[in-house]
Order: sequence, then structure tokens, then C-alpha cells
Amino acid sequence: MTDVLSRPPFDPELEAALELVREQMPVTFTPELIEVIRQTPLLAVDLEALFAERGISRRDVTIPGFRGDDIVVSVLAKEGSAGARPGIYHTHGGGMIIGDRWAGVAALVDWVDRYDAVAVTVEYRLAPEFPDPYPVEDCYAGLVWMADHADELGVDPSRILIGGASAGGGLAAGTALLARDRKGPALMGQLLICPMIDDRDDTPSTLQIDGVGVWDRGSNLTGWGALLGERRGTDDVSIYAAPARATDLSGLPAAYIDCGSAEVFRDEDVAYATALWAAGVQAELHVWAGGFHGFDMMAPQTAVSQASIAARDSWLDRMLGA
Amino acid sequence: MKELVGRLTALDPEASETLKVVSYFDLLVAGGAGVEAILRGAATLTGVPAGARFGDRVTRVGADGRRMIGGDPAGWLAHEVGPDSVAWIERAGERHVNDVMVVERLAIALAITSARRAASPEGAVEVAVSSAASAEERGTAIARLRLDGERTLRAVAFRASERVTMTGPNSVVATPRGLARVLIARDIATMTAAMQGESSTRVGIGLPVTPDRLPESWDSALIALRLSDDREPVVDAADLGAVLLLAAAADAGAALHPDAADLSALDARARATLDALEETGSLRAAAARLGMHHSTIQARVAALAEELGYDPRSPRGRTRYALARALLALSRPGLG
Repeated sequence: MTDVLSRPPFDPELEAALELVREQMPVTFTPELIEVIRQTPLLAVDLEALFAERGISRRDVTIPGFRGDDIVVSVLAKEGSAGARPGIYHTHGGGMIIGDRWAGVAALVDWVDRYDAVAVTVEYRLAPEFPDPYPVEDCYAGLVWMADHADELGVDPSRILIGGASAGGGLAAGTALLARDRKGPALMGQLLICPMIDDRDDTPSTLQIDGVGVWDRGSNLTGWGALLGERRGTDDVSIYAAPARATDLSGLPAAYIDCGSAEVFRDEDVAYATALWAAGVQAELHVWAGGFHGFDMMAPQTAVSQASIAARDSWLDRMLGA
Repeated sequence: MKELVGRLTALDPEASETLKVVSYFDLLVAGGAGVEAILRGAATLTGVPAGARFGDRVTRVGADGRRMIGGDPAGWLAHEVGPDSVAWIERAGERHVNDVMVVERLAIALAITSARRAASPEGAVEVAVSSAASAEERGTAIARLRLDGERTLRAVAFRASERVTMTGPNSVVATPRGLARVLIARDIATMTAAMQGESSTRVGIGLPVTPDRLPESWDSALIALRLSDDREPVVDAADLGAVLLLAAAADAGAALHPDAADLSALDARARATLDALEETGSLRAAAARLGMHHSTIQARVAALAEELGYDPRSPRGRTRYALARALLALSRPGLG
């Protein structure tokens, strides 16, 4: 019991859960592991059963992505709903290198159900095969498609919210910056769940979470290295790839940002919220004590996860609730 | 990343996952988690509601981690936590392989947690040996246990599952390597005499210290416990000398020392031979103990010396062997 921690301790419930997570996932994702992890379907969700149970329809559409290449988006909506409804544009997580548009689908389905929303989730192309700017430009292309087809989708174009977790949070923030700078589409909010937004590897939290927790410093270097290659950490990185680099955050939509106190992204996420406030943008920030990266999806039953999920739902209630 | 990992849900109902269950509750206890968090652990691991009743106060949570109203142990798989307190899980239908163990660990964890909170003697024992407590807190705990008049005390370590017949203030506490029972002893001579009949109980006896330094005694007791085995079930830290320093160094390093790794690669017969040589100090005596011919053991030890890269018959080699053996024992998971 004499261990000296140079980082905030994990919440005791989360620390116990972490032991079980450890069996499914390495602490550090190395470039060599990318292929292995892609081939290991760890999340076995029966999508069709999930949609049927919640009365949700799914439609896959091939649309033009970055440079006009084909990419796929899926449209989720309540069966039998009509009229102009709020839209949720979803960018999935996975460190820029893994995952697909169904990562995080459980929460998405929940929001579609609760707010009678129309969700579009985008299959952006992954690094390292498709490095920056492919991922964020694919995400932007999907958002443009959603806004252009708002009528047909039953979406109120003035009520589109973008959201994602982890790398998906970073892509959501980057897409919101693109939408601001290219004068559209309009966004009413950005839901940035433990977002990955800074390639520079230069915060206390990245030094603290090295070889421990979830998505540690080494994993983060792997993700950014895949996305940016030699450019990682240099001056040659755009604000759309790494939104933490943006110096002007004015004119952005209202943001919800959360993270754990024991994760790599803590300091960049807190700094982003602070910069948004300084620019006069509305933002809500929650830093959950003892949370590792993605804690509330991996261990949703714990007290701190319940509080985190409730806070996020409360913000969505205020944004999308009737 | 997060979405790629399945939600932490119930254990595989078919598989016995002892270690997962044990470490899950150990970590909760070590982290100072409360009653509800511990119940949530049981509910999560089993996938069914879990409850506890202390007196007439009931706390109960569902498999989704949410608080539930009311509840009663009657008819469920239950385990006593202490006098007038009980914990249970609400498995309908056939029991799963892990259910009994989960309830058992749940009860132990709840007992420790409630002892900490109730200012009970058990809670005072934990504070008395805890280096995390302040000197003042320890002083109060030692006084409450009426041990403040003692000149020297020893912390004695047992595995948490062991039945302890010795008397003295004791409690199950969390350690970095899992749960252990600590007993604070005034007089080790009486204690060891009382243990004569129980040769199988593994015991680690801590260094004699003044009451305010009990955490040091407890640390050394845990090392002694980890060095004990069937061959030598009772180890006294006072006999270990510099091996205590070796243990601290070994715990700080991550990798197993090559000498210990070499020993772990040997078969049981080879290790028995080397043990006999180490303990008796001569080939002749070792041969007698093992019931072997002197020349047989001589040939065998010569071959082993070749394999290890040092000669366990030389004074230096004998020390090196003893240290490697200690490191190998310390490398066992948990408390050995």
C-alpha cells in the first residue's frame, strides 16, 4: 500500500473493472497490433436485433466522400416517424485506426428512440491506409450529404447535432471547424465524448497515463502516427486534424465535453473547453474523478459511469428535448 | 478503444473464473469502495441482483448497477457477513459455477468495509498496520486495541482463507497482493507453541517492533508469508536478514531474475536435490536425506551446476542458489 501514484488514482470500481478489461485488450496499441485488433471483433452486437427491439429502421446509402470516392453512411430513424426531426450525425471512435460506424451504436439507438431523431453514422476511411485528411474530410462529406438531403431524411436542418467518442469526438470537433470555415452545414451542437484532439503529446495527462489505463500514451502515439505520419507533432498539422491546435474557436456550436481524470485526453479536453469559453462559445465540461478512457461504456454499471451517462443525457435533453 | 471492448458484463456462466472474482473484490476493498460499490461488483459479475442486510438496513442493486428497493435474503444464495448481517445474490434457476465464490468474496469484502466504518476492533487492526494511516490515527487504533503499553509487537500474516486458531486482535485486510489476515501478537513464543499441532498453516511472522512501527512489521510479515511453503510453513522475518532487502528489490523490478527463471525451468526432482544440498550443506548429508547413493547425487549436482552456470556446492554458489530460490518463491502470484 506504499505505491506512490504520480497520477490521479482510478475510481475503485473502475480499477476493479479494468482488471477484466485487461484480458480483452492490451494496455498499449502498437502499430504492429493494428491489423490484429481489426481482425478481432470484440463487440458482438446483433444490429438487426437491436434495431428490431427498438423499432428502428436502417438504410445504407453510398455517397461521395473525400475527392468524390464512394463511402457508406447508415441512416437510423424510428419506424413510422415523419416530419422534420432533430438530426444526429455520428462519427465513430477507434483511434483513427480501427472500428466501424457501428462502434457506439447502442447509445446512438437510444438517442434516436428517445428524441425521435434521425441519425446518420458515417463509415469514414481509416488511417494508416487513408491518412489525414481522409478521415475528417470523409466525415465532413457525410455531414454535407446529410444537410443536403435533410428534406428527404425528415431532418430539420437547423437542428443537426454532431457527436462522437474518442477519435470520433476529435473528428466531430474537426468537422465542426470545417463546417464553420466553409460556411456550412449549420450545426446546433457538438457532443465531444472524451475527444482525441491533440497530436502533440505534450501534457501532464499524457505523461501520467503511460503503460496504464485505457488508450495510454503509446496507443495515442500509434493513432496519431498512423493519421499524420512524419507530420505528427510538427507545424504541418491542420486544426481540422488536431482541433486542439485551433487558436480561434469563435463561431463554433455549443459543445459538451467530458473525460476522465485519469486518461491521456484529460488536459487537451479541459483546455479545449476553456478555449471555447474564452471565444464566447457555450460549452459544458465534465471531468469524472478516477475515470479511465471510455470508462462509462466499458463499465456502465459503476456509480461514476451512471453519473457521467446521466449528465450527458441531461445535456441532450436540453439540446434536443421537446 | 472503448467501443471495441465488450461491456463489462457477467462472467461466463460455464467457466470457473476464480482469479477474476478474487481480484475484482480485492481491488474494490483496496480502493476503499463502499457497500453499494461492492454489491454492484457482485451484481455485475453474476448478472443478477445482489443485496446485503446490516441489522434492518438493506442495500440492494440490480445487474445494471442501479439501486433497488427492499429485498430479503430468504430463498437466495446467502452468506453471513457478521453478527446480524448477511449478503446474497438473487439467482433464479440453476446456480452458475461462480455463484458460491462470488457470494463468499462479497461477504468478506463487506465485512472488511463495514469494520473500517464501524470503528470496530477489526478496523483498528487495519489502521494499526497501515502505512497509509497517519501516526496519530495509528496511535489511537493501538490504544483502542490496548496495545499501547507493549514494548514490542509483531504483525503476523496468514492467507485470508486460512482458519486461524491463535488468539489476538486480527482482521482480514487488503494488501497490494490480495487479501490477507493480520494478527497482532505480543508474545511470539506462546504463539509458535500453540501452532505446533497445525503444521500445514502457512504463517509469516513480522519483525519485532515498537507499536508505532507496526506497518514495517506487517510488510516484513507479508514477505515472510510469501517465502513460506509446505517445506517450511512458518517463516520468521527476524531470521531473514538481508533477504528482506532482496524482496524489496525484487518487488520493485518487473522481470524475474534469470537465476530464478533458471530454477523454475528445473523439474521437481532436480530442485529437491538442490534443496537438500542447500539445507544440509554437504553432498553426503544430502544423499542420506534423499536416500540416494553419494556418487549418484554427486553426478546429478555436477550436471545441475553445468546447467545453472554456477556450482551450488561452493560457498558462493550455495548463497546464490538460496537467493534464487527466494526470488522464485517471491515471484508466485498473490501471496504465494
